[in-house]
Amino acid sequence: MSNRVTLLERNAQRAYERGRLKWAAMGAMLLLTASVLGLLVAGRSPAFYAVAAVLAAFGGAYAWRGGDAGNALLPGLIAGLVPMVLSAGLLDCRVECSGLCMHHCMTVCGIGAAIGGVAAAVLMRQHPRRHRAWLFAVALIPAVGLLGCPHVGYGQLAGLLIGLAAARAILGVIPSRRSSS
Amino acid sequence: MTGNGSPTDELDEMFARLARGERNAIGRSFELIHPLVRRFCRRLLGNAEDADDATQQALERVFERVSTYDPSRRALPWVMAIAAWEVKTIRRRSTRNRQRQASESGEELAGNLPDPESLAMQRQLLEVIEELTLALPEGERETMKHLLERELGAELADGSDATFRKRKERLLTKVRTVLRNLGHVK
Repeated sequence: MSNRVTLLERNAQRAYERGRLKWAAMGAMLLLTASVLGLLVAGRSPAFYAVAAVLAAFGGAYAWRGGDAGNALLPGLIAGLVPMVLSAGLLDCRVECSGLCMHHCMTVCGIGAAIGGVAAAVLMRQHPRRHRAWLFAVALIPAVGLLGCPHVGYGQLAGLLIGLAAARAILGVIPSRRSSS
Repeated sequence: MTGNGSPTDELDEMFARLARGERNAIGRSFELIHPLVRRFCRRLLGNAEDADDATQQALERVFERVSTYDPSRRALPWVMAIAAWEVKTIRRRSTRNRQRQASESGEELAGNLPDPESLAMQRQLLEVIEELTLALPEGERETMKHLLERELGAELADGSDATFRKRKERLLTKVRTVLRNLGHVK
């Protein structure tokens, strides 16, 4: 009898993982479809589709894993909209992006990512493990943010990463000030 | 949501955790629902072998779907609705097997006569609902009975089978009468 129960429980665990995989695949497909449709409308280059695929893979992995990662999925996507909208609205590079243009792109992406990082922290403030969940959320910001850029380039990516580092620094200072007061 | 000690509250909490992807809730959830599902299937199917099959299928289906579980709903009726679906599937399979055996042996089929298992199922469903809600506090019992009646009634209904629909209606009327006599509904 107990062997049968153990077997049933093992089957239940497998079924649970199967269910999570289906759930995650559905989420990833949804994310990929939405991104690809947006990119098609905007007429972006093939490199953006690779970024969309990476974003969908991250989204699927988060949904499958659940827990802190699952909780961070939606806040991460929302926070990523900040650099995406800023880049799409303020950047207008032509064929080449170098020199002054690249500097401008880095600045806009950096500011967007910093705001996005802080927004993610605000969205995750009630989470019991908010620092861990915040890290999961901000890992999505570069991929979402890049989708709004006119080019996928090191400048934009560097700007996004610098912005996130700035957001982390800002968030690191706030608790210490609170504890000192 | 935090439990107040009632097993159904604990089940709600465990299922909410599973829906969030907390895998360490699998063991306790299994412990809570396995005896209930097994008893439910045994009472409705009678045959131990069929009941074990239905239990296994139902548990796998429950755990496969739990990621889509809505924590604002009660978990027990949700689980029992899935179990009822599996019971119905096993019953259909048994009926088909019997029909095939009968046609192979050249016997005449019973046609539109009610399936004895269905009739037994209707009788037992009332007892099962009663049994499932027995351990609940008085206030929760009434609500859970309504939920079970609604969920199980819907799952046991077969849209393609008018006879079974009529039987289900009769069953629901009986359930309501019993609840009315017990003073649970006006």
